Amino acid sequence: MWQPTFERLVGALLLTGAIVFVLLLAGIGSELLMNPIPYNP
Amino acid sequence: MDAALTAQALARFGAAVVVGALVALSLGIYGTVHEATGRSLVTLLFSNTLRLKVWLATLVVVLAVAEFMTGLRMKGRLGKKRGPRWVPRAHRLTGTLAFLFAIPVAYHCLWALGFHWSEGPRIFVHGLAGCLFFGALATKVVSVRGPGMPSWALPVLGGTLFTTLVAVWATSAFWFVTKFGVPGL
Repeated sequence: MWQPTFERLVGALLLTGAIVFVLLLAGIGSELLMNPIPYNP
Repeated sequence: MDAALTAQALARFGAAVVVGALVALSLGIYGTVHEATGRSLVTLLFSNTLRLKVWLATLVVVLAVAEFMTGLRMKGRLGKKRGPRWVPRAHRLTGTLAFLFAIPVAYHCLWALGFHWSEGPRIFVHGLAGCLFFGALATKVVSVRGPGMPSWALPVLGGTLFTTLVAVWATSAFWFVTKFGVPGL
């Protein structure tokens, strides 16, 4: 019971992370993570 | 294992490697052709993006070390037998968290800075290892879910993942710490 739930949760987290990563790189929602200050290392 | 099964297992592993290679190549091409924005990330409790990235990257490496150790334990290479039942769960959880914490760091590298071929070996190796890391990660996720992979596939992929991640960290966060000291928040 616990094991399939855990596996599904891990799978869902990985899939969500991958989708968010691709969307951000595509520019969708990237403003949400960006600060208006220019990057000055 | 008979020859047919071995050939089938190798074909499955080869398909997973192709998926990973496409991911690594896509990120490299994206980082090269995308016009770098030069913008900062939201910094949460940190004072600037660089400090956020140094600490997040270090957290990812710490999680990867935990994943590496639990991986060794699961394969019976560390301690007696294969460890208690929580070990595989801890292995998957630390790996997943490492991936999730790596996303904002990699996103900023690709979106704001881009892939640079000619700004010195450190930056080139960093970009190359970063692309290979996500490619190896994609291959491992596909392999771990797929049936009938060769028994050596996951250890090889786990080792590749860990090595590329350490290379990414050594050429960025670790380099920063050795040059400028440990950053505050």
